[in-house]
Amino acid sequence: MANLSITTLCNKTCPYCFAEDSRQPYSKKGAFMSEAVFDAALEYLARSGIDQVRLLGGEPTLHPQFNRMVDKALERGFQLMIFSNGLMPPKVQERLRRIDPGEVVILLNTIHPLEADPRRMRRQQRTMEILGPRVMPGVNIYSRRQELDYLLPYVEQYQLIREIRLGIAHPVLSESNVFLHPKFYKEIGLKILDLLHKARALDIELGFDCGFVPCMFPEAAAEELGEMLQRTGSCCHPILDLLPDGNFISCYPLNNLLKLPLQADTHAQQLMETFEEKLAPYRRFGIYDHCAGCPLLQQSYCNGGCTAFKMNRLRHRSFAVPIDGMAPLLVE
Amino acid sequence: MSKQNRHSLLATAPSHILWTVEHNGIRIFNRQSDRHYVLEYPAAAVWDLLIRKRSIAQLIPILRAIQQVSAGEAVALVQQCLKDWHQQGLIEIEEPDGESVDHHPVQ
Ligand code: SF4
Ligand code: SF4
Repeated sequence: MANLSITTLCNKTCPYCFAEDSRQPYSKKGAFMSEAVFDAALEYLARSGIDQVRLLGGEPTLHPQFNRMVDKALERGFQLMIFSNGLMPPKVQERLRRIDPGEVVILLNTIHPLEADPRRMRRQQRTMEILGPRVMPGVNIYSRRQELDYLLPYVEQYQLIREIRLGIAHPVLSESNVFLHPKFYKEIGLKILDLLHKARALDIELGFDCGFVPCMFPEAAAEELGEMLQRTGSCCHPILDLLPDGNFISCYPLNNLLKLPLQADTHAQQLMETFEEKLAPYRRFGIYDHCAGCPLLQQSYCNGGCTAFKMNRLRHRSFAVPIDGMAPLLVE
Repeated sequence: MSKQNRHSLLATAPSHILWTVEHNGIRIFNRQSDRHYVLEYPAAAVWDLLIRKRSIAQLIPILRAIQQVSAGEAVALVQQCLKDWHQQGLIEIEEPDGESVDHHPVQ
């Protein structure tokens, strides 16, 4: 897996955005991935045996060469996944409409009806109308009060892909974004279960992004969650995001941890190993103070939740305490 | 004479030493070496008091109370902690002029 972040430009300012440390407001000139880096990225994907091009941003459809990038990816036989807020230029909508639904998934980050400005809401709904069976609706959960049920009617109304993608908003290392604190995970777990029951009654499935942990769901729900629950165990792993400047990061929240350049011989497996090594010291504890004693962590069934949150748990506070009288033991 | 100069030695934590409280103690992470240390009680209590900037004079009676030990035992406990942490690189021992004191084996 690897995401190509083709621009830091965005036409929305979601408070929870993972790309908060690098995103450019819409009015400013954003950083765009050059065609040369994009071409090298396609080579890298092919070399690594990855058959899907995942385009994200910012809002990737704002890249001036977006349609050209789509053409190039399709010509080379890649499947496409596009992470979009749905506020895309008409010429992009038109290009995507001409792609067979089996070849492209547009993971649409939906706007909650209650918080939307009506103009944006209409634009997003128009995108769903035009691209229907290519669109998988999704939502990033950043507040315990967030309602999730509004997603279900969209699937029916616009004939969307029958899967809803759920993400948790995690903190960036500067903690400058809004994120869902793990103390609310259990509460959200119950809401997700409720959504799951309603979704399955309509033959709709749910999918999880990174950072969901097994303990956010009641034990009694293990069977109905099935494989979804098992996948939460390895909830945090290097995603391999390629930034517009041609550098890989493990994932957006860990933007500042380590950057590795895309080179002519870069391979995804080797990148994974390097980032995993960097993350390994953070696998020994978790997002909660009780994770260290959790059997699921000890058995490596759960890797303790979002590494960015864990890193933010670690603090330094300087102290300089006089130790008169202790000296004889310390210094000869 | 400054207040600091009246003291013979200072214990400080280098900036690459990070920590967090866990249910069974304090986890310390050395960002330079990527090594973890879990301090259980009573060592965790000593660390906690140090980061709250308690002086040794304040720390001993608190330790005596929470550990139910004599003053001598409380002093020995603090000395042992400081010695271990200094050897593990979790704290630095500085002389008032800012010179760092090397790790010395304790007889
Ligand atoms: S390791 Fe922590 S986050 Fe994972 S299941 Fe256990 S308590 Fe939950
Ligand atoms: S640190 Fe892990 S869980 Fe957090 S955002 Fe990155 S990949 Fe996801």
